[in-house]
Amino acid sequence: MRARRQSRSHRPLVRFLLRRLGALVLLLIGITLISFLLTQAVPGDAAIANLGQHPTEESIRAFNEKYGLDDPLPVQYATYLGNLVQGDLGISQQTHQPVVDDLSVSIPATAELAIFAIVFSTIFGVAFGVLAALRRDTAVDHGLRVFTLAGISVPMFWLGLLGLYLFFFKWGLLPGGGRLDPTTTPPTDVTGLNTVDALLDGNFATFWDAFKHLILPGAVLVLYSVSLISRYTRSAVLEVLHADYVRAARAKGLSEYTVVTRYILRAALPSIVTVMGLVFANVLAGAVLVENIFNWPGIGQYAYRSAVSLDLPAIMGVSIFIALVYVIVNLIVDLLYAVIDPRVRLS
Amino acid sequence: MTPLLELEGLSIRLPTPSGPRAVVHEVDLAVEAGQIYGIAGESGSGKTMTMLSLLGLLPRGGSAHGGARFDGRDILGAGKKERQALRGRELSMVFQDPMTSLHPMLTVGKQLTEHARKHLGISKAEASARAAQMLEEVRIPDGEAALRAYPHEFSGGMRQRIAIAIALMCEPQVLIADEPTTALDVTVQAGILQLLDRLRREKGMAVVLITHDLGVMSSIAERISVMYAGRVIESGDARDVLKAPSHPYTRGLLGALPQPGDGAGSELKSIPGVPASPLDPPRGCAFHPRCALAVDACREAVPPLLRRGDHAAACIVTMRDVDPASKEAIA
Amino acid sequence: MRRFKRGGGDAAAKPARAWWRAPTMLVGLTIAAIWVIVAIFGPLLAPHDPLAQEFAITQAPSGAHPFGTDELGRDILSRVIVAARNSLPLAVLLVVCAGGLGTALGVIAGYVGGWVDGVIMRLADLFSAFPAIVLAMVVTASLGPSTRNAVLALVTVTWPIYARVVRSLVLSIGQSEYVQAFRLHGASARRAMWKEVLPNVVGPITVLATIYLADALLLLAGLSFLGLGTQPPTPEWGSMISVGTQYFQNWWMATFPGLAIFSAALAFNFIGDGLRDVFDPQSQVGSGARGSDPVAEEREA
Repeated sequence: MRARRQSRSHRPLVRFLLRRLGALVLLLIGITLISFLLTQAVPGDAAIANLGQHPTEESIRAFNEKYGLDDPLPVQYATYLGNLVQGDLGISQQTHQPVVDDLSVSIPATAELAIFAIVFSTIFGVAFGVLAALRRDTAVDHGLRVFTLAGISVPMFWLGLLGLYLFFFKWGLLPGGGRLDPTTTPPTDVTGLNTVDALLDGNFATFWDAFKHLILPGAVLVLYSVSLISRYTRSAVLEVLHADYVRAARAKGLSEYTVVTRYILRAALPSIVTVMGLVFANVLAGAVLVENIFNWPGIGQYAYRSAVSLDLPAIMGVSIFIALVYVIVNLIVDLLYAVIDPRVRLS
Repeated sequence: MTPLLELEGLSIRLPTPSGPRAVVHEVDLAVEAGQIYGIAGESGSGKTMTMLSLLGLLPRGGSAHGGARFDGRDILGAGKKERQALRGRELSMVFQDPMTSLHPMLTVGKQLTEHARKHLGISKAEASARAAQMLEEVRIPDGEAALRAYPHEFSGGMRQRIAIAIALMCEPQVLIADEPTTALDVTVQAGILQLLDRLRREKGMAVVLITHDLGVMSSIAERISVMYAGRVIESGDARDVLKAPSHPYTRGLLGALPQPGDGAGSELKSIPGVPASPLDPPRGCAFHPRCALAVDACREAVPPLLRRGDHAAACIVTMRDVDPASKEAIA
Repeated sequence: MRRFKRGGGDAAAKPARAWWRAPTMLVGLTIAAIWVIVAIFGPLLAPHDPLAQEFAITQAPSGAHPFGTDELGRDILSRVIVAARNSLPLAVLLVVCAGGLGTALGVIAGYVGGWVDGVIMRLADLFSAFPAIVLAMVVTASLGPSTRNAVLALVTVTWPIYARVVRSLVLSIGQSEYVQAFRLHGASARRAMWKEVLPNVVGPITVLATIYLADALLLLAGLSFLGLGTQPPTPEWGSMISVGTQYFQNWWMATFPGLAIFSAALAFNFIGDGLRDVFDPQSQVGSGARGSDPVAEEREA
């Protein structure tokens, strides 16, 4: 007859979380291993690469000893893991600062950009997607379809350049890069996000300056993400639009607004959450290109510089951090599924 | 006595790739208060569409024409808000597949109370109390816990009971049940039908039972209309129609039902041919290509409903003794 | 689980959508065809030698040089044309390699199941935990920037998408009744795979590949832009844009290669979109996205 019910609906959720956390730990270990192995694949000598043209035997030996580069590989790996757990990611061979410090400076910059992009693209993306689905096969739907296809076809770096050329160079409407005007004093560092910090300071001029600098790089990221979200939302809504329970909801006399929000959107939510995970990945990846063009001192820039200068600790640090973020985002996404769809909690 | 639900010459047009086509033609129907009215017919005969049009739930681009009156009020011409106020409140519907007609992510309690709160303006607590009581009436145990549960935690039969409870929350005058037992096991079917009958009697509610299964029909229906290719081809008192069907199609349907008396090895009788599509029916009587009694005249014009007392059938052959002048539309 | 849904409310046929899609599909095919021709006949079509540094530097577009000249005095139009020979086949190569690897692993994972499935899926998770560009950067930086390494790096990051989709396809087909009927007839597992499963996988994979072709193009261009892909002086759209960044005021240097990438990617996306409608209108496979619907996969697993 009736399926056996859980005594408390919280238990499956907790077990679900624990399972996922376990997978996360495994994944992280795998990531550190891969990062480590990759950096070992670097041909040439790190010491020579970092010490300049003709380093002496002495300095090479000192360098190797300092960074433990003479130890056998497993030992090096174990040392690294040990340090990692204590929060020590090593010293960047470029900046000569602890990698952790470098990261803590560059992360908020990218975070600000990412949050800007995600917030705007979600609002507009979901709205467009729902609109396209409800007005299926009309001019609105087709127009949006062409627009979103174009949105995912534009190379981000090119769009950024185009934007810079038009809005900065030709029309002088927006700043040409960086996070703040050179003449503007940065706000008190609370979150690291200039816009938020400026508001906390009550300084609207600074806020506006920071915001203006966000617009162009943000817009570039938004274009791609909006297109992605809009397409996914549209197809998710279409899938549930003709569901029996939607018809049953109307048959109960619920208002069209309730039907769309409580019945249709709710059912489409899992798919929308899926695409949010993808959007996050895309924003991170896009950040690398966008920060490069707009001179934005974020993780993307840091990753790029570390990669080309073969700064091993930095590379590993960045890789691990980005992978960690990615994995956490996926975990959150999985959690959200369980929260949104009670059927998932059973599995 | 004025019928509670009255359809007069109801026709429905739906959009097709080749333009709007009629899928339901000139349906006449009258349901009295407290009556169980059965609409029989195969899938595609238009029975569900007819009822959907009353609720204003036709697919995009569909339109209904003719007369449809609920409690004396015209519902086809009514405005959107009026129809919304009617749905789920005075006129409720239970759908066929209980596995998909409940929202998987909303609690049973939510789905029971949301429309009741909207229509009746009652508080959350009141609505929940009423919901728990309704669950008890449909024999779902542990109503309080059930309110917090989700549909997937219940079996098909129980979900259908929940759907019925939802439909009854605002004490409607008419409950439309579209194939309520078709997706359920036979063992569960009887329970659902008994439930409908009992609720009908207790609440004085009319039930429109749509089904292709004449066995189901015979157990509780009082009056029956049989539809074929979008038209009503026979109607009358349930016993009359089922014991002594006048239309060859109804006869064929009943003849096809295996009887307990049939010996083992006896052939399954079926109506030859395939059901006519309401979009493109044969000329004249839609049934004539499959009919053993068909004559030339059957090909020429759509036969009107000819009445013999309370019992009407749209067949010029079996009803040839009837005076055509008495063909006014009846229930 | 199949459920027979009676479409009581759908008696009317849905308005035919296919022909509406045709305009974008046609445009896509036309543009793609143009690029294919350009790629094949590149050197013949180019008015000048793309490597010849014989003209006045940084000339704005004019009659003699419709796309202008670059900082070394080379004709940009010729370079854009010849770059097609590099960029487009590379994108195809990337998709074919990643798709092939991903399909193979996905089929194995789906069909064999068990711990093999687990291992492959964990690997897929691992490799897609890095955003493509980052891993690609690290790989090319450590192995040395070159075309070959760029493709290698990108294959490593993009195969999981195909693998996941193929695996869930194989799982759902394998469970379908007609394959089970097939096996009931005593057919061996391998025959079942070849005859029933694989043919049904090819369709969706082709659609997937077309959709990701645009992505591949953008990824490769991005890597080249960062200096980690095709190295100069070989003309490549991405690296041309990178140079254009430095010669910012000479807008033509970055604009035309960018338009080339955009038009090609757009064409592929139009085609992929149209194909997906033909083969699987209800598909959840999004264009330009990584990964497929994990919720559906949850249910399969």
